[in-house]
Amino acid sequence: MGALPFSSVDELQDALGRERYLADRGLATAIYLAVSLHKPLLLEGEAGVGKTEVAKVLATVLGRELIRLQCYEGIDANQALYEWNYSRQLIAARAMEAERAEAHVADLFGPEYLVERPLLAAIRAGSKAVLLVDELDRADDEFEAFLLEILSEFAVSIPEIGRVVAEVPPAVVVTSNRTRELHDALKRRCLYHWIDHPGLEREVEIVRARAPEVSETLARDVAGAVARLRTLDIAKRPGVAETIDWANALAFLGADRLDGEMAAATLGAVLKDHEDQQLASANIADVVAAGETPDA
Amino acid sequence: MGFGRFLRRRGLPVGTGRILTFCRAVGALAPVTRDGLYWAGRASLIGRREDFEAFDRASDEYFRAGIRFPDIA
Repeated sequence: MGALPFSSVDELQDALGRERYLADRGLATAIYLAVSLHKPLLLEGEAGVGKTEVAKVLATVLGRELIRLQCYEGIDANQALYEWNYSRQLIAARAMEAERAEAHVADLFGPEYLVERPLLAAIRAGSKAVLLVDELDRADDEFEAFLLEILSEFAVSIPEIGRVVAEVPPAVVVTSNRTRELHDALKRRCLYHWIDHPGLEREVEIVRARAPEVSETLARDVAGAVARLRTLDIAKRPGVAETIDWANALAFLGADRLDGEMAAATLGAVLKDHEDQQLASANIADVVAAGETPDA
Repeated sequence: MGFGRFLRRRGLPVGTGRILTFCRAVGALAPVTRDGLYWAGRASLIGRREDFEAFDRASDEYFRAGIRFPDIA
């Protein structure tokens, strides 16, 4: 195993903190173990809790390249692994004489015509990469089975070129928003962690770390208001990124406390759905009023 | 090992592979604290958020019963 830049969960937690990612003990332990044991880390949680960020900050901390595979409905193995560059092959074939082309077909399937997609890139990069498989729940069962195969072997056979094997597997982070349950077979291969919305104190800390120009008081008001927004019956609960955006917008407007008027005027920074905004506006007093700190 | 079987008796789907991973995890954390054991156990033995509660109850019970994890250097 290559030397890691941290030798304990504490050290990892500190290193993440220096990159302004505040991971709690559970998450830090899960990341530490995933990297130490060469196992993929499956992160589940609602949109906006910082799952994708984990892979990004881990790549920074490890000094590795981040390779991202964004999953979507209908993604297939070719789009994830490799494809042949057809137009380039076609041009090359045309450039050859008709009778010579036949003799050179093999050349058309050489490495220079291969288009590397994220999974092949990650296999080739091996221990120099962090592979992020983002939103796997959006892909279908078949793709999940294919991914499991890749994660089991970190090898791929390309008939025209040969077998590509990662000597050391890359660090892998898989995320799911849990629009569907992933299969047990895949889960068994991974370490698992569920990321919740942060508690009030942690969210205040995160805002302070990510938006230093926001005052402690304002950060506290905003984090409290967002926590209450999340309890409303809304379609898209705001994530940590929205809390930071909102606090930034308010600080930019010169606010140092959050009041109802200010909150209503800037709701767009924290809620992106029109109906959610209406619902929050109707309840703005509850969202903000309870936000006053007891000592105020 | 005993802990894995203990969880299984409580209906948690803990397979041998997961128990093996747990053992490796504890080894990677050494020296391991009670807190570390808990998080390592949850990350390696559990694969669904819904099972966290059962895991919490079971690990509480297990520790309260005074059953000690074997020392792992």
